[in-house]
Amino acid sequence: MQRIVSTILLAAFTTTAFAQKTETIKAEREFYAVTTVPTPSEPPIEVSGLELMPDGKLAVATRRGEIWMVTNPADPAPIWKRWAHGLHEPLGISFRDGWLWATQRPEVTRMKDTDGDGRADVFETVGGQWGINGDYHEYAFGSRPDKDGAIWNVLCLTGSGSANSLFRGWAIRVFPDGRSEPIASGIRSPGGIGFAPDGECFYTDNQGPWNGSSSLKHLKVGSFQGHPIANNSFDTAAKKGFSLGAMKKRPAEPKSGSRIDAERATVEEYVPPAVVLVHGILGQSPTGMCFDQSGKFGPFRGQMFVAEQSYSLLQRVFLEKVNGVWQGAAFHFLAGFGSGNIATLMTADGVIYTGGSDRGWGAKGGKSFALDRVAWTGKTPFEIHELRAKPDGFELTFTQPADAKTAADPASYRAEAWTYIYQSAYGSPEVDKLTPRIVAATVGADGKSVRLKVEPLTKGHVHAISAPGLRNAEGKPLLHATGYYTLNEIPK
Amino acid sequence: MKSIVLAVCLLSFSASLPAAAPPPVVGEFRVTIKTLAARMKYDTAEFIVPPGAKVRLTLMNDDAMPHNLVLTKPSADKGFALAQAAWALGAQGVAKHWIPDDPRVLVATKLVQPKSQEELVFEAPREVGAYPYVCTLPGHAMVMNGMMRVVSEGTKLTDGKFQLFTGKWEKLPDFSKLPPLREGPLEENLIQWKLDNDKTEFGLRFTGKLEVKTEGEHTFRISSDDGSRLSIDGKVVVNNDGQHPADDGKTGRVRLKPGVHDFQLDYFQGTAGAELYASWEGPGFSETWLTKRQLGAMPKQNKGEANTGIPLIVKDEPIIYRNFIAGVGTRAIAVGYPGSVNAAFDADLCNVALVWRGAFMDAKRHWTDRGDGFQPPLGYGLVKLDKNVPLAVLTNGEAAWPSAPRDLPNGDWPEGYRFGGYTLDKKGVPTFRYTFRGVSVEDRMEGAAADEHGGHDHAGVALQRVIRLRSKQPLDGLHLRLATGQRLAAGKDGVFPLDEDITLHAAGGIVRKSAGGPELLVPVSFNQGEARVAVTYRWNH
Repeated sequence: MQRIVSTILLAAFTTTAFAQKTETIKAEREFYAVTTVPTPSEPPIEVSGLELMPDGKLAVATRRGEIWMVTNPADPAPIWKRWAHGLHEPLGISFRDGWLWATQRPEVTRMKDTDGDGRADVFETVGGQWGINGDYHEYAFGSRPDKDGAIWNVLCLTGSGSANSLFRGWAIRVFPDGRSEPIASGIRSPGGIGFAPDGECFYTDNQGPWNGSSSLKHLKVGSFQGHPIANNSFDTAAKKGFSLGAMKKRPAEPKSGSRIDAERATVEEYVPPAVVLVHGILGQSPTGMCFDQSGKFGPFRGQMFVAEQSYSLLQRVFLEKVNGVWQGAAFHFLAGFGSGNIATLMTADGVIYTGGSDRGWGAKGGKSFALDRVAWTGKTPFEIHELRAKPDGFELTFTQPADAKTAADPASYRAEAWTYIYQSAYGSPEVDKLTPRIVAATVGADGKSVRLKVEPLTKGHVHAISAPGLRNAEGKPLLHATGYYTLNEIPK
Repeated sequence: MKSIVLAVCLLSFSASLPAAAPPPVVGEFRVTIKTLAARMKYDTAEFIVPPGAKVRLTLMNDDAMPHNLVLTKPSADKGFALAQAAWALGAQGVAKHWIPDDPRVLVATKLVQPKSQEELVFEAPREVGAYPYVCTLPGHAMVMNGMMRVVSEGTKLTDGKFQLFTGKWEKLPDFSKLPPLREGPLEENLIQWKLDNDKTEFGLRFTGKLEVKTEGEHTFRISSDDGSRLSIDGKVVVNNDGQHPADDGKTGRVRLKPGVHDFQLDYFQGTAGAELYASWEGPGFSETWLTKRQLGAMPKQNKGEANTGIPLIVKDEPIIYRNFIAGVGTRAIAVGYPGSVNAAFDADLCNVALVWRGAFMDAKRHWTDRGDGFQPPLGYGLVKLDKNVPLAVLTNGEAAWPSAPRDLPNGDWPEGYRFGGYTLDKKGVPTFRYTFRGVSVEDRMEGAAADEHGGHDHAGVALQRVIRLRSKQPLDGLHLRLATGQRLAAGKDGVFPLDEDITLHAAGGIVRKSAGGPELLVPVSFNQGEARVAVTYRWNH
């Protein structure tokens, strides 16, 4: 059922304050080619999970509970064969130790085709000690197995705002032997979860109550992630004798109407969002993520790509740890995907597969469902490579040498800073705005970096650092001029 | 709750009205449209008003974020282009309530805050047509939209009845010469049928009364897969017989006087698709559907799905559907077996919760939009079995069966049980696996072999269930409970009527009395660490 509404994709956006202009989308394609992977005519392939199998096939999980194996996904005519069906909304699949693992709504499952006929015949329930009551919003997103083979699962709140079933709003780690271990609370409405190359876990959470903007969050073991309504599970679990795992005690209640930075002092377990995915600019519904470790996906080795459902795009995220807290910058990367992106996979060959659907939440792309493939064309775009916080400002590195004159001129740069109200009401406008000054710009010796002295720096604020006046050696501007840095901590 | 009344006088249409434009209707049409909390959706996808009617529309915002409602001129894109124009207002959007200065806007609310409402009073257009309404906040219109249909509607059937027949035909038979398999009143007086799993080789006769208000020529239309024929007062008006897909259908005209007329629609289904649409129109009213499904309500390519649901049709192999099934706990696994029998397993209780026959399941609820709610099975002959655990150790004859868990979503999982998932054999038949206090259990069901009629729908259709148990240690007092409740009758020789619908066959079964009513128990005794209990669920008719 393909519904292509072309008016949506090509509508003219009149301001730069949100979304991407069509000219920018075209320019991006010079560096990263996006091709549609053909899907069968029936049924709809509403992508909800992706994995590359050892035999080279692409495993595709769908919202209708099926798992398909795709032979030659890069070909113009790939072959699709259904491997499994009957799952309850799998959101996250991965292959390990001969099994295909999946997190479904009710449980973590592992599956195998033992007789080699191309179809799974064992569906083993591994575990998943959490409650579901029939509310559609109680989604469960699962990670790949960690170094212990355990799957980390983030559990959406009931109706996206309440906790009417056990451990909604929590993260539960499920071990291969079936043990369930709670590891974090305070989650609201996740869209995806993944591990960074160093093993740290991150997930995306959506704008809503106690979430002024959608964000990428660090899923630290034992942490509180911001939404206090799930704290009632501490009492339920204690009453019924369930292990609280890594959760030592019920966190203090944050004060509504305050600021994240202020409430970090109130709630000892609170880990602030690592990177705010600025609402209305970078998107409004972030989902899955992947990292490039191949070095074959252009110049962004080690960086993260976050999929966005509503705006049908991929964002790029640079992470760093400052004073023990994860934070970093988000950038526009690639827009114009076919549907709402939900799942994302980076292969060892440096190819991204991303896909999803627009069912229930609408997406800019216009198609009911899609699976797209992204490959680097070999041309390097002129981009802000890394955006790091410094004690007195920010340091930007670039993918290509910058023109010395524009790079050294403070007038080439702009800064804006704001934050959000941390409150029980839905979302928040941008508040406490200020326009810091770019006092100085010191270019690095190789011309590929600049150190900006920015005043003032406000702890807890998002700092949008733009370089509209910057040019590379060929006189071209940055493909994406702004990085949005979440300054949880100012380096000492 | 704020209530702002906007009296808007609408409509200068440049298009000329059709020659036979109906006069404006006196009286007020009230419609309340709510926004569903956390769903970003209106609760009303469509409402119908007569041309020129005074409409009082109340938008109630039950959601936690602001919304609006903008009624637009007819357009093929359901108002999406207008919503894009609103999105482009950018920084000015909020101040303008996300309403662009655009001639496509007919009438609109302001931005309605959470837990507030706004009322619009306006005159419906005189021109019959479909007028989209959308929420124009950025990103909302694609799922927050609906249609105001300006329609002059005719009357519908009254005293509707159906008769269901089975048989293999290439053209409509004379149903009056055949015995019906089932018959009864027509639900909602709208022509429809419950999809049957064998969805082939059946026929239906629909009868009812149709009231004509104004004398004149009336046009009937029927579109069907396969053949159909419509008669009024015993005379054939439209003949759409034969084996063919449902396309735009055939029409027929008949002059009718005011009063009540006899209506009859015959239909038969061969193989593959099964669809039926019937409508009529006449003096003063536009096409009015007599069937529950409407032809052309969705774009042609979606016609099949939108109008007949998304039925999961079982062919040679079972279909597994794991989702929220009405009558089962939340960890439900439904299975449709070849042979027109179906079951739903509850993975929290490790027990079979429902069995039924006929069609398996309609997935439309869960595979459309956000997929909310519990879906009842299709088919018929639904039997609700126990909503409790299947195995317990009873220390003596009077020991009560454990009471059913009270709050599964909050962790009241039954003690001693661990659900292990399922395996599929070469035919795709699942065997459910779980452990209970060290006993490994395998629970497998299958349709009984089809009878010589091809298994369509006759007495004797059955579901066979085999439960295998393995235990290294003997577990004294282990019992299997197969059924409970007042409908269970004491049987003999292993045959136990459950109610008028179904009989259980379980060798070794004993009915005992208990506080909750009679219970059918089977004692489990291990022989060299293994035990086997076979149960057959046989429908009586």
